[in-house]
Amino acid sequence: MNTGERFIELWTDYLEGELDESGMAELQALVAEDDRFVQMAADSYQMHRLLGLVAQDSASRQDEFVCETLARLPADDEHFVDGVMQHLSQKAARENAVARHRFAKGPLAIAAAAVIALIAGLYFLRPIVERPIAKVAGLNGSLQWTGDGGRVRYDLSAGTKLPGGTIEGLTPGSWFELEFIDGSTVAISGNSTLTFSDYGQKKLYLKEGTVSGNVKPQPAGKPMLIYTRSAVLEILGTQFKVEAGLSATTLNVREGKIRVKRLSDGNTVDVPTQHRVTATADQEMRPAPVPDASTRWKSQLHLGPEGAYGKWSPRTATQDAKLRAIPYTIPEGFTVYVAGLGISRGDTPPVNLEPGCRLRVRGHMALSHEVYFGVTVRYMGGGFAGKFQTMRPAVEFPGGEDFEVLLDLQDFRLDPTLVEIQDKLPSTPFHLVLESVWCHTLDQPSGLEITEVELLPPTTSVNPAPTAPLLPPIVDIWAATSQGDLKTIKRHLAAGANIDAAFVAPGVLASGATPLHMAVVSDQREVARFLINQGANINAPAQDEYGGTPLHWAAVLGRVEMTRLLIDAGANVNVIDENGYTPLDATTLEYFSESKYRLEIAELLRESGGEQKQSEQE
Amino acid sequence: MMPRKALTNGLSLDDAIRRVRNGHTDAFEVVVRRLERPLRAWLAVQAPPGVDVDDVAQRSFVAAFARLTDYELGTDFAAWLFTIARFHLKTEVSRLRRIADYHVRYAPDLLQRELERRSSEPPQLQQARLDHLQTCVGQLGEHLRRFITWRYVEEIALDEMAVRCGRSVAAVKKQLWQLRRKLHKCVQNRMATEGESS
Repeated sequence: MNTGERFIELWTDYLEGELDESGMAELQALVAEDDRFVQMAADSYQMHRLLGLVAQDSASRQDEFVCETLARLPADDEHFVDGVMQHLSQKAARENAVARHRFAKGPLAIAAAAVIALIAGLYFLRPIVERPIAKVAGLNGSLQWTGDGGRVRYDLSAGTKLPGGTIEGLTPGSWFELEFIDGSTVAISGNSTLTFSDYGQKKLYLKEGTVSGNVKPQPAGKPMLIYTRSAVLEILGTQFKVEAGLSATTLNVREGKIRVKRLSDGNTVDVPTQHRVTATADQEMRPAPVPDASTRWKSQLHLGPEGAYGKWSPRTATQDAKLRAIPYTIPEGFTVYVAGLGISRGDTPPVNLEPGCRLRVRGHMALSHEVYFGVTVRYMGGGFAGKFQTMRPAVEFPGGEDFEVLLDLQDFRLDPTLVEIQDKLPSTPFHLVLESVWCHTLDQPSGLEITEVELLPPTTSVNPAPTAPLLPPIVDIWAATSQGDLKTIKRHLAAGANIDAAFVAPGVLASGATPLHMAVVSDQREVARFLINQGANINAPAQDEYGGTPLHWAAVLGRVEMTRLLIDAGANVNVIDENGYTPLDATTLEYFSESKYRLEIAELLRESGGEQKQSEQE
Repeated sequence: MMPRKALTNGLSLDDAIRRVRNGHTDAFEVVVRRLERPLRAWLAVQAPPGVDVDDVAQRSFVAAFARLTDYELGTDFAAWLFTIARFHLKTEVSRLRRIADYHVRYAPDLLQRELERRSSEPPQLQQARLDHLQTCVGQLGEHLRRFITWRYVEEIALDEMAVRCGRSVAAVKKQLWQLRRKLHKCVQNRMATEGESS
């Protein structure tokens, strides 16, 4: 290794904080002997620092910086004022002692008063600053935060510091967790509206919806207070879940003890661990043990729209009560049509999801369209545990007809929008409390209505809903992939087809291909993107004698854009096939595609760190 | 806090300073919003390792606020602020130098000297560099930009990056070095082109 290469290695280690003392000494010596290295180091260092700045260059980071800076102004003033006041009081004390012997001098007293007035003036002229009191610990779905003065923000992200305000969940799938400076966390889910503040005492106002919390011990005499329309809750430090409606508040305590005061009559009760209470004007407020969970649940839309999201219509002589999906346009610009139902609410027993549980959904579609079905789940203690969903193809929802679908919860996958925090969430919805069920269509109003949702426990036998017959999955997917027929592929996957199953037919060209290989062969990039997003193994070897990955195939076939797509999606650029070839080696196979494409692919692979193993061995 | 646009759109820096002096201290937010980016950019490239750039920037603003009556309206407030920041940075660097093993732990001495030499560059230059850098990053292919995202946004470890891209840690280090060089050249070219056209 020459000195240039050694310098690069040491310098990169230095920037990554991985350089030890001997390495630092070596680096010092290298830069001392060649001024070019000093220049390169300084260039690289400045670029490194600017990149750090570009990465955090966002409106929220600017807000944060401004908030922090402004917060330091009054802090410094306070320090200044406090210091002077302390000095003055000592001085005043000394002067008081002297005054016992002689009268205070008039002009001095006036001057002191003027100084105090000036300081007091300075104090009250401090800028009015919103100090961050908490940060966003996690969020998902559509949310809106409103700060003082009506400032509205939708662009919240994990880590955003907030100075109090009101957070609103805008859809049944919304979730938001807030972490206060002392580590206490509270979370809302679904259509909930929570105002929070902390002026020495945390105060939360739950207008409607659900809030759960894990609260650290609070300062003596300053418990966290949660106000609802019907009660005030006093929390010293515990795990809990509160649900507020127009006339009732239901509290579940997992750990600790919470004092609940009913506003209508001032009646107060303490709710201990694993107990719940409902505060409402028309029933006795007595804590009771949290009831055992159930694995069966059925909607009762005919009783009213409470807990429902969508446009509710009552039962008539000719039709059942129903809930129609209503549009919600996400700030990113697209519209979802959502209907949803809250479950495990009020004083009903919590509903648990267990393996084998299924959901039966009945409803009506005006226009045929694919439909997404989802569940939001929480932990027993109340914390958000994720959203899981599945998609059913349009063929199951003929336009102008009623439908009934039976959904196996085994097929539900974590909502893709939660992928960034998937490590913190369970991988299945099982053994968790069902918070809500929802369904939606994307982009087009298709008149989705639901009339009944039922959770069936594992042992229930049902007559499966009739579906159109499917061809053997892999044959059908093969054909569909080459034609870019996403609907058929989705239908098979929804029906449980293995996304990585290879189609093996010796003698047939491209035998051994997984669906992703097939997408490469037919250059169907949209299909490839979909398969990857659905979890297809991007590095799957073909089930043939060569075992090439989709990237090998893209390189051999000269698929430039497909190669780029696979690299961007994280394909291993140095994976070796059964011949010992890397994808870069595969670009040297001349008889499959034009050289200009292979050269372009080779460049792409090299840029991404691709290496040529075969030539090295030879 | 007032809506950001309402504040920043309406007032010039001198107007804002005048308002602060007249007791409307919340108008200082305009000053901070207007100048935080160039100040942080300038500090980021001048400060040797170990210096908390945001802290120095905030202390500079606080000092400017405290001495606002010293500022002569109609002159260049940004230049005045940068002078304060230069002083604060120098103080911080002096403090760090007094830490016995600072050079061993944090910064090659020659790098620090080179940064000091470069600190005489006009502060506005770094704001321009930052703007060009954003454009240059935007022009990278996604397969390269992901390294920037991993390293500077997600701040994940090198071995995690290696797993994600299916390459060795050594290859990832090399890639980061090449990327910084590539972006440096891109920024320099854009600055040169801009200089020629102006």
